[in-house]
Amino acid sequence: MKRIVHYLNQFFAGQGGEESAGLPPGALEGAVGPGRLLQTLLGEGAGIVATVYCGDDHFAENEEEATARLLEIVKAAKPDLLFAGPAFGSGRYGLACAGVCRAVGAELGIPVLTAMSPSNPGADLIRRDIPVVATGESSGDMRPALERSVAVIVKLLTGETVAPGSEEGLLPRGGRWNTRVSKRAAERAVDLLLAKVAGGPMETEIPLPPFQEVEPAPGIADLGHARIALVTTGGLVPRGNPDGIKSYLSTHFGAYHLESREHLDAGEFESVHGGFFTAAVNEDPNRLIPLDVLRDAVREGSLGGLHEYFYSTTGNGTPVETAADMAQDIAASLEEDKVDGVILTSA
Amino acid sequence: MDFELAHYPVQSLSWGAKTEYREGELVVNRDALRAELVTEPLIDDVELSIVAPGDRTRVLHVVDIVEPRWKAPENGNPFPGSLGPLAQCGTGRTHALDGVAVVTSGSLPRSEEAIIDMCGPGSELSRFGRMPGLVVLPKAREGADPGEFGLALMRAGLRTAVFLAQTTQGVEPARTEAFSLDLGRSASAGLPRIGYLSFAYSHGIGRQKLFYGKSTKDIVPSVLHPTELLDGALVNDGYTKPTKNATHDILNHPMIRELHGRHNRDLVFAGMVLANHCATYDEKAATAWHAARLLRHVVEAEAVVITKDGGGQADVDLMLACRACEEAGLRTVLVAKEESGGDGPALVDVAPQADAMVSVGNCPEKVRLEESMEWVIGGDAFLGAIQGDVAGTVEIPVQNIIGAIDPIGGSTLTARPG
Repeated sequence: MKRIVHYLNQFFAGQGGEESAGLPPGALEGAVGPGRLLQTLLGEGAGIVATVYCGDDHFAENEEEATARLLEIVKAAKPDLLFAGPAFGSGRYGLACAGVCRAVGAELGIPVLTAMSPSNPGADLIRRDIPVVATGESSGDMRPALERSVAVIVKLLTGETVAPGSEEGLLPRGGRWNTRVSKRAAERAVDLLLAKVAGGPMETEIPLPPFQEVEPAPGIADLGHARIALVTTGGLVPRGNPDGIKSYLSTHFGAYHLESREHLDAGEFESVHGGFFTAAVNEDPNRLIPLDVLRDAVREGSLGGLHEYFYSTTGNGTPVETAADMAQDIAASLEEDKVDGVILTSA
Repeated sequence: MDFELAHYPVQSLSWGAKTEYREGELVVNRDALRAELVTEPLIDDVELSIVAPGDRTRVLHVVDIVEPRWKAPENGNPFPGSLGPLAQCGTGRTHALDGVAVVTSGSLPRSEEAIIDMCGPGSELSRFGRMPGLVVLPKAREGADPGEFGLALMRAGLRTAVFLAQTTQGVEPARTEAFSLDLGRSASAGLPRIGYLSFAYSHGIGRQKLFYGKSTKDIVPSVLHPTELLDGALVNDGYTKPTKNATHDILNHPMIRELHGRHNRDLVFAGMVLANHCATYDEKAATAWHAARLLRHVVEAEAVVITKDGGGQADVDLMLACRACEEAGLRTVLVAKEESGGDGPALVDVAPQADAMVSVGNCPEKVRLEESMEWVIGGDAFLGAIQGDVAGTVEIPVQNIIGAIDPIGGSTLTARPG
């Protein structure tokens, strides 16, 4: 029999209402409160071996300490899976469910899931990483919420793939997920085009993002006193790629000190970009990060100075949101370092 | 009859004393085929294997897949320019062995992994895992230039295809399929006139399609008859696959067949334009307006389906073409593969006019292939970043299963928000 640990707040664990919200973590044997219905729905393949709980206020005010204590209790019960909630629309409870799930998943490496309403602040915190069963706002939705949860619990316990959110009653995990449909893409494309021509309702399979206008920063009045930084999406890294910058779908960037280099040597740097023919860059990295000519410009006085780091990632299939996140981090550190301008080179 | 495909279905493929096709059984004399293939100056020897659906077999390093084709010499030849002399495509009768694949395998510079699993989830995802295949694994002559050897490898696939299909000479086909060359005059009034803009992967040797044997690197957008593509005008010379179309896909072109099949039913297939993915932005922009103008004023379409043949840079072409067509008054639908990490559309570029798109799947999403293979053909390690036992369980991006993602719309895969 698979062992399940169930997390509840003080109220659902039968330890008192709002007046007991300061209660520290504790454990009860077996199924308690909504856990009893959960156990009935689970049948004989899986059993709730322990119920752990914590007061909502206590968790919110002592998150680190409470999480550590709850982890200990959960670990001792040797579970195969942890289920937290349902928290419905209760914000503090939802945040606690999210925190407990994240910690147990990371520390114990077992499947975890929770259930709450889409508007619960805990939902946005973890729905990308952990299955969150969608529920209504109140405990009136208890039975259907638990029924949906059990379907996912069974899949997680048997190692079955959990399909994209909507198909399992989960909150959207974000991202794009493959699925098979009955019609081939060629037929769907022609159907969609005929619908568009007819002017009737049509549904694109790839929705457009909101378009964002970026206003250019004002020009630099006096380049002779400006500090310039070099940033590239061409994937230039020290040989051996110490930060493991990915050649495709990059998620992070590297910052590399220029030291006293007058130019970048082929023996020292290389491009790990997977989407263009890198031979020309690998032969002479200055073709991507033009350190050589910029050093000359500084010497001649046409440029004030160079920022001591160059920043690099690969722009190859990277989604716009990921790229924007990286750019914001790079921009923040350039701002902190009082850089006046950036030369951005791409592959 | 303007162009006719004579279909010869293949149910079984085996080695035997005489190369022949009889009632669905294709028998191949291995030595005779080998002798034919080593006539390529850069091919020293060749390993030939037969794979069948349901076998615990995995093929690695797939370079191309071809459908066996034969044409009576007076009608030309099946792959003019790419294998034989130049001749017209899409006229007369062509013989096709249905449901069988000639698979070339090899590891060339910068090639990307493309596999075929003959069993398990990999075979469910790709039609090539569900049909018998003849795998051609040539060995290069010592010192052969890799680019030239790549072309020899391509020709080996085409040569094998012709070698197999010539067995149908004088044999009555199971069925024939007629294609009218006169799309325009036969058009019914009152139905929407739909055009097709097909981009071809076109970045030079090993990264391109060949059009009548010529590199598509420097072509300009051209109006051509759709039957030409069904008849060997466009051949794959791309081993930086795997989400570009194989020759087998083009010969059975799902988009052309869809449009042709619905011609005069709920649309008029007005015609098509072939364009390439250029290297620079200016060329891409010029290609887009050039193609839009041909579609609007020469093909006289009122709406266009656009497909691409590549990754990130191809999205730029797709969106520029969308914009140019919509601005010319042509409604568009774009067909795109996605490469997603985040929440938004997993395309490198988007145009505000791209309000109708069809997804052929999210390329990097991993598929778990939990198989214990008894036979692995083509190599003893996966290419690139794929880690795992070549004969065992591996988590592999769906894009590396050749045929799972089909840029010209032959697969039922799509991607949805999760």
